Amino acid sequence: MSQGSSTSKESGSKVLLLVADGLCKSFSSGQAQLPVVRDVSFRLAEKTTCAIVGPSGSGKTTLLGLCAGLDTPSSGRAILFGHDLADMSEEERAALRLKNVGFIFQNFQLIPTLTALENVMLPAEVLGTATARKDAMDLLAAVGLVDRAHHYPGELSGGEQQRTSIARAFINRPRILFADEPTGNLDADTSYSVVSLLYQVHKLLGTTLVLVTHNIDLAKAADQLLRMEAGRIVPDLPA
Amino acid sequence: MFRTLTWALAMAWRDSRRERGRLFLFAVAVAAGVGAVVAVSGFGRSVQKSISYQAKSLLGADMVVSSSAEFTASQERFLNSIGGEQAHEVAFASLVRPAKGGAARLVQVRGIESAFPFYGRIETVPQGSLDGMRSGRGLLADAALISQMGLRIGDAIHIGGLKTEIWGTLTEAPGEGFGVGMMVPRVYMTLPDIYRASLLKGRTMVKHHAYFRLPPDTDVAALVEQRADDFRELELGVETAKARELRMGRVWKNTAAFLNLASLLAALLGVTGIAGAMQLHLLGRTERIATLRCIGVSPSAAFLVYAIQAVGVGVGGGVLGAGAGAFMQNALTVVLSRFILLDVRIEPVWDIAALAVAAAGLVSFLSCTPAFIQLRHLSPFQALRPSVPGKKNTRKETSAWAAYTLAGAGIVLGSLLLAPGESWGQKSVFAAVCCGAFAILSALVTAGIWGTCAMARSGKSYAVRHGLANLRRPQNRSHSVAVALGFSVFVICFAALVQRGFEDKLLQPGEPDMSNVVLVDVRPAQVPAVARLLQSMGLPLLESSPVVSLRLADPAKPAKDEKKHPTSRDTKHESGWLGEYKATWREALTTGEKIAAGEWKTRYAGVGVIPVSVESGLAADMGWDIGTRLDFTHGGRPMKVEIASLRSVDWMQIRPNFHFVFPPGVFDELDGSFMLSTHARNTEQSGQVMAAVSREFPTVSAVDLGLAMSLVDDIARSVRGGARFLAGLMIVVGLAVLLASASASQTERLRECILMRTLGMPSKIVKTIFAVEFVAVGTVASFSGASAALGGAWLVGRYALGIPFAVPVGTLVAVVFAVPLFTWLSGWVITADLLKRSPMDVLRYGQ
Ligand SMILES: Nc1ncnc2c1ncn2[C@@H]1O[C@H](COP(=O)(O)OP(=O)(O)O)[C@@H](O)[C@H]1O
Ligand SMILES: [Mg+2]
Repeated sequence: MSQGSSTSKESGSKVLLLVADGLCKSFSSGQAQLPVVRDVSFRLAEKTTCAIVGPSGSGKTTLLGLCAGLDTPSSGRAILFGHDLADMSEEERAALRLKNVGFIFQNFQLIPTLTALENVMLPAEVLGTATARKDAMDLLAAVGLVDRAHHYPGELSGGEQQRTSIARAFINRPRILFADEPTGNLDADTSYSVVSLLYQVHKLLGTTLVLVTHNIDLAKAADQLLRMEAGRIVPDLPA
Repeated sequence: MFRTLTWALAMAWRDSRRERGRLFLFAVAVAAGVGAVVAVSGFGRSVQKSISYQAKSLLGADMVVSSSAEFTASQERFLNSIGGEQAHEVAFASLVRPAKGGAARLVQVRGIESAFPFYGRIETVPQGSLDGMRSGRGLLADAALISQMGLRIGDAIHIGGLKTEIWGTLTEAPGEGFGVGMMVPRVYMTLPDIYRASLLKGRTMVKHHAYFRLPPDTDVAALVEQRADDFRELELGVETAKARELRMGRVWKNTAAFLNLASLLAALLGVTGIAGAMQLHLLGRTERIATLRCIGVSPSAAFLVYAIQAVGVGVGGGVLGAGAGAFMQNALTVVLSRFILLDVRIEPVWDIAALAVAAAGLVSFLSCTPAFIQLRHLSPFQALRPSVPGKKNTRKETSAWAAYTLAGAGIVLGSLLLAPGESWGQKSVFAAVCCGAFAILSALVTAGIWGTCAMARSGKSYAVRHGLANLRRPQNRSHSVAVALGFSVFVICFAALVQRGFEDKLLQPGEPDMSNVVLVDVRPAQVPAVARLLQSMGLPLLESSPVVSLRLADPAKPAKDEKKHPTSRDTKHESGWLGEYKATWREALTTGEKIAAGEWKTRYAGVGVIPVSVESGLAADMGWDIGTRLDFTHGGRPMKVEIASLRSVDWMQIRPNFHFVFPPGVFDELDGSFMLSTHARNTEQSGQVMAAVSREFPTVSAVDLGLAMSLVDDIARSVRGGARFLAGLMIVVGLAVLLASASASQTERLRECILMRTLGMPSKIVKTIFAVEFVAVGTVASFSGASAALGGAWLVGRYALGIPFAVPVGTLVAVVFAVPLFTWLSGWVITADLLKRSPMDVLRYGQ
């Protein structure tokens, strides 16, 4: 999956990373179909940031999953790095994610039996990077957790866990990072430090950032703001 | 590929961190089962080997060829062409008379060459008198003869024209033949001495034996088969150690089948019992796997990590078990060899161990397939939204069913691999029994849980209602835990039930109602007096049968050469050399007898042809069948008989046996003699009986069947030892499975417990809820297991092993009550641990 060849260009300057084209997703509950994401389209260029806001249950997580190829849409297309995710096999999508996509979860999702360092190393190890350990230590240093490298997630605070998971998300130098309410389980101050860390890394590495959040202030800092309501993207009314 | 593998290995190891204790517990459950298989198969193999050796030692050779006349030149040529080593022997009946005077007695004289025996030993008292005999200084005589004639070692006696000295007492000697004709004391001397004294001159009934030691790898049975025509043409009889081994081996084979079945069940219990727990362990990984997949780990790599864990537990447990099994096999053999005469040597079990380890790995993997399928279809989305239940679609349902089928097939395959039956048919029976038991058990447990939950609704106390309702909650896995536990109850009860039945049948020889001392030539008038004598010595009179001697005058084979009668092929039936058959009459079969063909006739009208029953082995040797007519002479009087039935005689029951059984009313009571039998508790007592009898009734001969008896006793003891050992092991397996299951559901309980306490429930109620639940699971398990075992044991006993159904109430009750007690205890331990943990732990460790 060479990066250069697989990206399409728009207006000759910005490279398009993600194209959502009429994405729909519904879940069947019994006989009825429950539409959760309805006809969502948007485009995301390289090295930009995008925030998705909206009330709980509006379909943000579902949309994120569709864009990252974690789930398949009922209709519409999600094109990541020029690949229609629906055309790829599970293994191909996994390989794509491993190299190019980072994830940050609301509940951190660190593997409890791995130390912070091992958690961070994990994606690099899977990829077979020789310098996995060193890279992981560097990243842990960058997020200010060198001294906690050998601690297990259970021994870390929420903010520390989320910083560890950020380090893990960046170890393979992904081109795009999806964060689903990364601060949802954190207090305001910690939230702030975590989000500013994300923006910092974005600036440093040029990683495209897709951020789901409730916090409108955090969202405002993004290049692009998508507001979701009942599965649709609604025009962003100026406050 | 290689990198993925090494990564997966490392990951599997790291992932197990904090749960290695639990995984080790799983491995122990597997190990106990595999250990049982390895130990029992190895032990069975050792016993089989020693039976084979014992068979050779009883015969003293690999093969013995016999003729009723001196070997002719052509016979000699033929014998030499067989190869191996030979030792010759002659045997004949003769009278011996003490030199100091006294009554003469009939003995069986055996003249041997010094190379004999090739296997086993001739044991004498004093030791070393064999050498004296071999150097021609005297003869060796059975203790019975010496005591009956009131002789002492060193006394002179006459045999025919030879005057010689008793040089020693014969306590044990291998040799051809065992039967009614043997019930005459033996005298051993050297073959050259016999020829030197011309003892054979003028005798007609002399049996000549050539004992063979063949090269170790010779297939003796094939050799005999190949040369069958030669043997027949040259009128030579042949008996092989292999044939004897088969007869003794038959007993052991039944036994081994039982032990193998039980050990197989233990292994299955170990491996599949933890399958539920292992699946729970794997399913607990759901979120982790989803996360891995989000990160970009491919489904196959994620699968590999957990497949390694599953196989690792199986193989690790298997290796542990194989090692422990080999050790236990040694221990079992060593312990047992103190109690039995059988020279049991430890046999290596590498092949069984390797097979068992492979099977454990395979079955452990396959039994986790349902979990694998679920995890394989896992959406990485579950990392984003952990509460999302796995998608349900028909494809997945089908594959889940495919997985269950596969897992089932794996269990069947594993049991087929492990089942050490002789044929695939036998193995399939084992597999069917195990899988059937599982299915029935599962159904019983479902019914039990359903019934208990129905009861829960009407319960008064909240804690009881809640506890019982817990049984129905899927994450508690009550069903799998109860099936695993129920299966161990099933196995223990089943083993106890079958063992009891087995012992009832098998251990009879060692029990006081089995004859091991036989008194022959008791005159009808002496019977009451002999019976009184036995009674006064505290010995039971077990059997009292009239005996008549018959001579065969077969018109089909005109007696051109009377001395060669009945036929030269008759070697097993020693009476051949006396030219006589022993017959009795009675109305019923004895316990060791079965009608193999024809009809048991108890009536004779007084005129016409007499219906008789013939021992089936003799009939086979002689080529007789139902309806064959024979002409006998009895005391010079001719009588016509027709074979009405063939009796097969249980070899286990070493008792005086008769070639022919007549219906009552043919012979006069006073015509013949009586044969009485009793049971002596040990060799000392049997010596006392024989001495007392010969003192008071000099014409009566007493024969000790002790040696052969002790062999049967040995086998029985091996069985009992093996069975006890297995029952013990089974309990270990059951406990390991219980602990593994309880520990696997601990996470769920932890969450529930914390939640309840967070909601403000007093810890006392929480404890009661758990206690009720655990006791209920244990009770359902033990009742399901016990009832399945009762049914199964009855079926197996009746249709497979042919043993009586006996219920060991004590064991059954103990197990049925012990299991709920144990589940209650382990529940208590677990909840105590849970209540101790701070809710913080849950919040921190999360999963
Ligand atoms: N597997 C599913 N089956 C049925 N409904 C679902 C499923 N997953 C999500 N939903 C529903 O979709 C809606 C949107 O969920 P989600 O994307 O998590 O919203 P958000 O992340 O914006 O809170 C919710 O109402 C939820 O109940
Ligand atoms: Mg959400």
